[in-house]
Amino acid sequence: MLTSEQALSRSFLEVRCAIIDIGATLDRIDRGAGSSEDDPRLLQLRDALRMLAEPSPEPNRTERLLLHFSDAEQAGALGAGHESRPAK
Amino acid sequence: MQIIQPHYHAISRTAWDYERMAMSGVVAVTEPAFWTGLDRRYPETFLDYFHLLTEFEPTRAAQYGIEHFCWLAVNPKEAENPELSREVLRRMPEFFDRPNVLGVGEIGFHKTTENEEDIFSEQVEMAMRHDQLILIHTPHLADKLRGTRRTLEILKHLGAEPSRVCVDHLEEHTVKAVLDGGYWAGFTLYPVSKCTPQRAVDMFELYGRERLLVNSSADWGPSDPFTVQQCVAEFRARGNGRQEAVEIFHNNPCRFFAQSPKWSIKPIEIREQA
Repeated sequence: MLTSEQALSRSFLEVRCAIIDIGATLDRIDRGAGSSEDDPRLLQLRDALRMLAEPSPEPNRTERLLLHFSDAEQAGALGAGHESRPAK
Repeated sequence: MQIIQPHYHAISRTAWDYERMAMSGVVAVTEPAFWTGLDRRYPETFLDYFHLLTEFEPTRAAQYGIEHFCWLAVNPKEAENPELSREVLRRMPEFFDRPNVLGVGEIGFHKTTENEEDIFSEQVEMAMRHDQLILIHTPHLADKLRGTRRTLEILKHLGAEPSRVCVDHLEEHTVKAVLDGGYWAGFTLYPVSKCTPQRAVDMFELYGRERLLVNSSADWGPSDPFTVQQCVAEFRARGNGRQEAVEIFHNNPCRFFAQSPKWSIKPIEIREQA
């Protein structure tokens, strides 16, 4: 397993680029004709960015983001545990 | 569609690039002199490199129907050795008359040191004395803003004619000052870590399409000679026409490079037959 410092060094430039790309994308959405302010997808993206910016009590941001972008009903079913699935 | 690659380091690439670029519509490349993988110890090593740029590479590109032009320079990274740099600069004008030499480049800053500044200034002055075009490298990542600002201060101080200078590797935080100064502006598009094709098209929308050159990345690092083609696709996907694409990716380079008498390719116009 990489040390924390190694993981940061290996990924810094890629993450820097990804963050700039997100900024460019949000700028593009804002500049475009019309408005997406009320589009639930944009709100979902903003919530996800907030999740990234906040400290995480444990390193499980990826899972939380995927759940955030999952259909609510499915996410709830998974969150309730696999035992709730009907046995085959 | 016909495309010109304004900034392509053939020395670090294989002929396979040329073959695929030819198949994708690339008709010409221009190759700035740059760092060849190690800091050179002898002026003659630079001179051999200039021979390669003016003799071997045009021949290699021609095998694929691509015209090859080049720029001569002591690159910013090796300008940190001013004694060696000045020995090279004394001999560089011997190559200016060669048929594929467009000018002096890429020069500028790497870490924005005093040595770099001295050699950059001397190369700008030499280019002006010999009526050469100028191609400028701006630093990557965290050093870009400071290096670009200092570049513009020096160019203004030396009285370089802005229309004969392209300042390259620009991004959103540096492009406006360069265009406002009357210079040509270059974007270099990488597969990872730096400017992307999508962001380049954003900048066309923000800053117009005049005096802009778009480069693929083609060097020793993670780079891709087809990011310009990706940029063409992104530009067209946003509803722009074929002629509009030709203006940016073919005709703009022609307009800048044609200030050198060596450049032979004319702007083109797409006409539909009646």
